[in-house]
Amino acid sequence: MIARHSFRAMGTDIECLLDAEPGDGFAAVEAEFVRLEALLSRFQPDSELSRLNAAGELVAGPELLEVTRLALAARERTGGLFDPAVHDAVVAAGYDRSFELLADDGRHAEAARCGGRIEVEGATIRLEPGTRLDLGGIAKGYAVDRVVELLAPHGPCLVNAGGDLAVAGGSWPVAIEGTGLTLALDSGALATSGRDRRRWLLGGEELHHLVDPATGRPAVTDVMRATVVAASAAEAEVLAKVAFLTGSVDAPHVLVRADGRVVVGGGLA
Amino acid sequence: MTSALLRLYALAFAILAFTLSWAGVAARPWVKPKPSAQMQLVALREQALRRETVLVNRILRERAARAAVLRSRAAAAAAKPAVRIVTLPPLTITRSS
Repeated sequence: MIARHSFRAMGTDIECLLDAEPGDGFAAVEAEFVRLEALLSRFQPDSELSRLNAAGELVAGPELLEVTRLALAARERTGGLFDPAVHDAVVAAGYDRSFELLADDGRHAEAARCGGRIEVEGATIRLEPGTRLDLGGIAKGYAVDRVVELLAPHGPCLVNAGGDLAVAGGSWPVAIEGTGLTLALDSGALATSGRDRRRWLLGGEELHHLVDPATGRPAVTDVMRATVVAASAAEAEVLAKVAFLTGSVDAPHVLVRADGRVVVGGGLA
Repeated sequence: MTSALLRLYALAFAILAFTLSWAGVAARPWVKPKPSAQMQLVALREQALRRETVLVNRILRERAARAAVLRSRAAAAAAKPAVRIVTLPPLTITRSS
């Protein structure tokens, strides 16, 4: 019998499945999500991330430090397709408050510069003046990876944070929305990025949250939704963004094109 | 003669006993010696160093534990995920986040 627990955190629905007695496992998962959100959210003014963005320099705690390092490594590995310095571009596109609170207030979306310099020296993170971080493209995956570590000692488990999910032990069939496909995930993680859900109107223009760092505006692509499998949810999130922007990626993936075609690749069969 | 010699010995013994008693009393063994200011500073520094040692050891232990966790995460991140397409009923769904 699989125990199931759902709650809301990080602006999305979290679902935990555990093939064992949960004990205090679900409570620990929920507490960890709340703790990480309080550190890494750009919508909470007293979060560690917000303090870094406000000051431009911060002696960071281990979590912000680790996520920033992961994000910088991903930026380098993807040649800048994934960029944590898209904060101002996302805000300029109108995504300046929690998604549930967005409304068309008549403004027009503008482009903003991405790719600002970010230095990590010891525990100090230093941002180039005018650069602010948005870890929204990796923090949820990071949180999923961390809570799976917490839940795994209780038994085989899966944690799904609004589409970014990771498993430990067992084999977990996961449906990919709008494709009719189901993937059995025995280890690792998968994430889905797309422009079909987090979108809004600004000045009459329909926008979404996936910014192309090259233009500083929501990406124009014929991919509607990209699902990518990777060893960790943080990595899967990064690769899903890359697949969304470029329409291809080496890792196992499922893409849904704007015309509804489903493309399976990366050795997935 | 013998009596004079004895008296001399007795006098010498008395002088010796008096001197020893005087030295003993003058040393005031009932008064605890006051440590010098320098010794006090050294003692304080020793205490501070002991505290710092405990702190540094704790930080080093925490750092080593964190490094071990990061190494195991890096190893997990380098592992290949196991995935395949199936026709089983799904337990959950992935969608755009």
